[in-house]
Amino acid sequence: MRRRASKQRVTASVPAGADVLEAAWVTALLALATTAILLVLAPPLAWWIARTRSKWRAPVEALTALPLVLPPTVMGFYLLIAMARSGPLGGLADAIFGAPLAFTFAGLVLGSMIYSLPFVTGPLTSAFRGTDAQLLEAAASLGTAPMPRFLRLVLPLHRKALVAAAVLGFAHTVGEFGIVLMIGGNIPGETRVLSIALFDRVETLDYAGAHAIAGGLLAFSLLVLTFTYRWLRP
Amino acid sequence: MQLRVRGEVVRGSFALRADLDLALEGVAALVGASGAGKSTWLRLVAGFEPDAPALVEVDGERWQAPRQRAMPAHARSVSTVFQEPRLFPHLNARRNLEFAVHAGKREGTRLAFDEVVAALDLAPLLALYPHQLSGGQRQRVALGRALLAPAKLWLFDEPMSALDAQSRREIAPYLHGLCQRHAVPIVYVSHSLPEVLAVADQVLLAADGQVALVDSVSAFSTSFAEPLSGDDPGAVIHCRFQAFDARYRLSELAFGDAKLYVPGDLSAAGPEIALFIPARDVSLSTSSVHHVSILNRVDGEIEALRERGDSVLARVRCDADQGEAECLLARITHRSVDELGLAAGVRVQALIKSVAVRTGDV
Repeated sequence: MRRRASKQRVTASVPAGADVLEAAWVTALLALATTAILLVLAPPLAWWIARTRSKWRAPVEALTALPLVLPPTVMGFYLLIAMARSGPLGGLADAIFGAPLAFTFAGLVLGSMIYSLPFVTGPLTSAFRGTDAQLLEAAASLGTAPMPRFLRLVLPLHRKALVAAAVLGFAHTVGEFGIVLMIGGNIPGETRVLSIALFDRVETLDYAGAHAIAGGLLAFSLLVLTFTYRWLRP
Repeated sequence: MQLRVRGEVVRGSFALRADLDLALEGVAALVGASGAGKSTWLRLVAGFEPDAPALVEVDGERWQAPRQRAMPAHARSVSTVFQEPRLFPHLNARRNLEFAVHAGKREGTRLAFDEVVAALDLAPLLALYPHQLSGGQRQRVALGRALLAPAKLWLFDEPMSALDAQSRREIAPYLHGLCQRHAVPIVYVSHSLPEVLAVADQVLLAADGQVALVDSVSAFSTSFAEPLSGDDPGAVIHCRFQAFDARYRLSELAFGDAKLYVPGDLSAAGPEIALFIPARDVSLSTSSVHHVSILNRVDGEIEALRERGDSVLARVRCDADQGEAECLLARITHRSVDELGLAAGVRVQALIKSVAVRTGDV
């Protein structure tokens, strides 16, 4: 009993450190890529949701909010089907890049985008809804078309909401688990993220390693949120 | 500029019916009581009532028509100064102004940045953010911003309401001059009579949900019209320049049989000069007055009296053998009316204490 424990501590300490660093790197890359792409796609979507009078507003808003209520494994399951070689997304990717999306970093980014979307569109939509219509009219009366109005007035007016949305999207991507497990698997250096590495540790009863990762993630999230809220309302 | 506005805008229980086809020229003052539809009319022209079943045509170009997709506000060559400054809070004054410079590619007059900054005295404000500016300063920046946007028509909704008298006196002639130099007409909403009559070439009256052109500014100024005579009524008089007396530095002007002496050399102001004569600076006498310091004495006949608060407004038709007879307004007390026996038809001499030359002509 004592011998087994000591042996495990040895295996956990040396290669596991490198393993965790690698997972942290993959996690950071994934969260950065996801956040960057969402920061381009989410603002126009949130603006449309906030401003449109179309009957499609409610269904579209519901669709973007799905990841908030659906178990990640359900989303992950459907995404896995879609990204497999036989699925529509996977087939397309296979035809273009010669590989399906499932169990790749690109597939993981796509899944994370869908899963973190409501965390980015949410704060943006509520901020955009509060846009002073008088300022938009003033900009229009000066001759500013809708697109430059959005880029030059709406986005700068809501830069705090943009930062909040980016932080939430980033932190949420760092913390996701279910969807990654379903569509990414556990490939070191490719799709093994911190939450998966943590799961591994727990499965192998390496609680010391698990503590390190879990504590690290907890501290990171707490710090990021604290700084964000302080910055939002100094 | 030919402007045609026809149709209806319904906002809640209020309906504005417009049926107006006019040649805009210079400054058109849009006057009327609060809630008469002035701002709604401006919004319709500017493009902020795109769903209203109304026709808006400018120089034959159709901006809006019932059952058609309205031209969006940003594409219309109209720049609006709103009642509120509506400055962009995240930009300092300079960037607010530059926003207008880089706004878009629509047609219209573009003024030079430095000229507008100088004319509105904005240089000391450029680095400040809207929340650091006073109400009047914000309004000046907003006015500058609207002037810097390309436009063929300016719509000003009480652009100087928050300014002190000094700034108004400086800015009004600048606006009037711009209007003439660049041939860009201005529609100017105001509640202040001296302000309106000082700059207006045309008067549009909003009342009972209608907007209509007033035939003569002079006749309108003395018509006791309620929306205007509320604060500071007075008469607009058109005079001919006669001569300049260099010794006393007085310009001699004539209208009807009367002569008026106005300080300063007005020889450059053109053959016809519009004056604003505030009612509070006109006194009436039933006998001819001679030994008095007031230079300007005009004979005439009381045409009508109208009670206005604690005092009485008298409309005096000045004698004129030739040309159109002009009217003055005098603000007098009830006691004077009784003691002098003033009534319609009574001959009087009007003593004019002060005269304001129409700012745009100086």
